[in-house]
Amino acid sequence: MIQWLDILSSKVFNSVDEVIVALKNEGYFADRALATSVFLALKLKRPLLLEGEPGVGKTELSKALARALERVLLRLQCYDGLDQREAMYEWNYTAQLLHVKVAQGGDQDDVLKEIYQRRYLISRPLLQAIECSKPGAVLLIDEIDRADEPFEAYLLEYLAEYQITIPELGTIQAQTTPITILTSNRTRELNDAIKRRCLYHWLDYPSRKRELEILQVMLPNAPEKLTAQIALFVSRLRESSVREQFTRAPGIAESIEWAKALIAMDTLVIDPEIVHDTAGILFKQRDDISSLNAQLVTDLLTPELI
Amino acid sequence: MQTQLGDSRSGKLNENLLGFGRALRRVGIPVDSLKISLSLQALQLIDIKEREDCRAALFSVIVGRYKDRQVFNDLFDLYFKDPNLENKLLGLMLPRNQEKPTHRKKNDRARESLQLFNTEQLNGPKNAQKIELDASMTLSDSDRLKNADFNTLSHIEYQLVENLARQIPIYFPKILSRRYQVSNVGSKLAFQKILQQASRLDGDPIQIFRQLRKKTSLPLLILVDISGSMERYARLLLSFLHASTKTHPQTEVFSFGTSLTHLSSSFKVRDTDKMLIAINQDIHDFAGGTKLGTCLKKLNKEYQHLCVGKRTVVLLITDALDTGPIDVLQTELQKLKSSTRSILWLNPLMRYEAFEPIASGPTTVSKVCSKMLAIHNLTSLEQLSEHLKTLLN
Repeated sequence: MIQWLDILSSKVFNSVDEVIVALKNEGYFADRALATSVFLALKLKRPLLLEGEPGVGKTELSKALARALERVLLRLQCYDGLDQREAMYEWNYTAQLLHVKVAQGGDQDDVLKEIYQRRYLISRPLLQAIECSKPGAVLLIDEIDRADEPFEAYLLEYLAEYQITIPELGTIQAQTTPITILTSNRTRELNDAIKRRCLYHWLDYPSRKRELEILQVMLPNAPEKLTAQIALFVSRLRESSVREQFTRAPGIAESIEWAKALIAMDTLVIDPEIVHDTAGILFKQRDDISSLNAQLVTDLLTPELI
Repeated sequence: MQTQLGDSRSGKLNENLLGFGRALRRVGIPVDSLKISLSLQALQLIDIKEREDCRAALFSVIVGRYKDRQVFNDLFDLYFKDPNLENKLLGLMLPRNQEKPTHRKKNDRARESLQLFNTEQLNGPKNAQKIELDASMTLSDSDRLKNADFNTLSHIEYQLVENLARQIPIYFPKILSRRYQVSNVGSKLAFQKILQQASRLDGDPIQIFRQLRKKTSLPLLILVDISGSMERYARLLLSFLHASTKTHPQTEVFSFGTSLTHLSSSFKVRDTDKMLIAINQDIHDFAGGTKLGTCLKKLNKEYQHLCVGKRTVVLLITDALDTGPIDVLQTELQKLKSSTRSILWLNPLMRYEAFEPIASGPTTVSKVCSKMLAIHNLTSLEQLSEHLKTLLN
């Protein structure tokens, strides 16, 4: 009976379309290929590795997925030097020392056994994800390419078996498989051992239509004409011929920020002057801003011939 | 159930997937049996009639690298149209070995060493006499070779020097990493170790263990000029650096002349001679002009990710006689400088004692580089290691 209740309460997707709809309800517009990857990751119980340019919605996906599945989102932000103590678990040394002190005079073996109990273990995101009670957690391992290579090795056991082995305590196995999403900006290639254990998806910039939808959902108050113009302008910036002039094309995050700024400035129609004034939102490099000259902006802003 | 992938009841799906996996393997995408079985599971989960869903599912399960995306998509289109057609096409595409199988060539170095042995045996006594005569008048042969400019060597001498250069050790300085190791000194306490000891001694930590940051080596980025004026130096320095960076964990190599070539995969070949052959095949602009600026532009743009964390040490091997626009060179060098730890200019023109960077190319480069080092003869190569130590610490 209890099992039945569990199944009823935890959300399960039965098809790719259900994933698309559920994510859409949470304000995330996934294309079919991405939804298929997510669906398979859920069904096959495999971690999903998302790669793509910055600002295409890698992190947002896990947030939306956690909301859609009504699960807790646990986030592990990677950085150079990140180690097991911050990612998996750490012993509470001070408490352990106190315990040893209190138990002074007792049997040494007993003391040793006592201090390596679960209550002296501080869990960090990976262990938290494993120990999370039903319906389980969504674990986001963000920007894994920023961590150094030795760190990847720590992850292998977790990614393959959803378990963590603590030498003093034993192996802790996940009760419910945590949904694991890894993101990478591809500042370096990840080890094959990691890739083998994950499903892979390359997140590209969205199509103009999809971007327009996103803008409309994120900014319901924005005039329709303005959002259409923003979507057109940004998608043209990302076209290969134009993109070559910049070190990095603006992502969705940037176009949303830009749209917010334009609305705050009560803009109704974008003109070259406004683009010039607000270029710092789209591009974060001085060279890129200077490449965005008046002629190019005028070309990019010309409306489409229908 | 007749679908695009065949009749699943009679097991066509398995066969097709296997075939697809093999085809992928042939074009260089790593596919193991685990992936095949996973993709079979995946296809059973989704609507197999939806072609794009199948594509996405197979991609997600099988592919793990961004660069394989195009190849995968092309092959998917080809394969799931008519597998036989794909086979024929692949057959046409693949280079076929028309020659009869010959005996494997012996390793070049092994052959050379044999030759050397033979000639020594034959000419041994004669040579010995010669040296006796020369000794009274000039420096010994090895001393002469040590100080001779690489560009002035005869073919045989060049080979000799190249072999000598490979034996020169080079110590790259190490920096502190963010990882710790237990030691007796250090600023951080090693709690785990202290606790282990204390628990055995009734909770009295007698000895305080500390943690020290581990040492790690800096990533290297080697940029070697292969223009006409640098031809001889380039080969020698490549074999020198190859031999001395064998144990170095992160080394990236690029050659530049009129265009930029990424050589790292060839540079990973363990045998120095084979590495040189592999590199020869990679490079298409040997002995052309130098367009350092445009090559650096490509490097900064496409290989930005190699210089993450501002730790990379760049070894720029060039005479900087640049034929490209100077303003591009300036901006690109500045960009490279801002994303790396230091740029060391290894300059063979330093063979002239009074060398001063006066021409526009060398001036620009010398402004950006932290140090200019000579590399025109064996002695200067030997000193390189010392210089690196003082410069990078």
